[in-house]
Amino acid sequence: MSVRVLFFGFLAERAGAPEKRYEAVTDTNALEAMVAGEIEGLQEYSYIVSVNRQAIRGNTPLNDGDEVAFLPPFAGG
Amino acid sequence: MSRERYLVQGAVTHAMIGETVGADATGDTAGAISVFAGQVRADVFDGRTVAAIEYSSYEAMLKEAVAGIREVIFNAFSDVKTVTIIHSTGVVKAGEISLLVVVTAGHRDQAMRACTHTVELVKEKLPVWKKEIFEDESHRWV
Repeated sequence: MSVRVLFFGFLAERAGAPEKRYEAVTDTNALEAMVAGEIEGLQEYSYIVSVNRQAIRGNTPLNDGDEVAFLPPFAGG
Repeated sequence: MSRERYLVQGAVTHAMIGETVGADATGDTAGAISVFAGQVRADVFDGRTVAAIEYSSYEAMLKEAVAGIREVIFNAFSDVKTVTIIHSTGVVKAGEISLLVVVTAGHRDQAMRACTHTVELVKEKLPVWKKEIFEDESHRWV
């Protein structure tokens, strides 16, 4: 069981890499807890989480091969 | 220029603007072409001047977001014929263009209103991030 996790904007800088792989993680709450252990102060930042390119609300189960992204507020234009 | 082109490496050039307007203006049912070009400003922050902006995007999600914006515009403005959105990725220097929106419509009212609305949706919906790079090579995320 492995998920691909993408970080964008300043979160890519804080994470130290734009992409990481996490093993044995069953839902997004568990994943956020793991990521929070690597990005100091993650809870203080504004961001949304997407699973397979769809923004999620609340805890979401993860399956092998899912693509999860941590997205800071959009700033296009 | 294909309307499937929504991301360009580096600045949107003046030639791209001309090509896009020319391509979208093809046909005789549109009476109005509205163009918005967003340019990188040399803002000053804490005494440091912005030399460039480095854009990054979630490309797979961006493609779907562009399609969603176009659908919203076509549903909201019945007179609109084409909607083209081209955004930069990578480094764009101050004074260069990073966003192009071209809307054609039967008449000017919807062309201009739809163009404005498209730009607002681009800022709200496109998964794009920007890092201001200052002349002293320091940076900040905005």
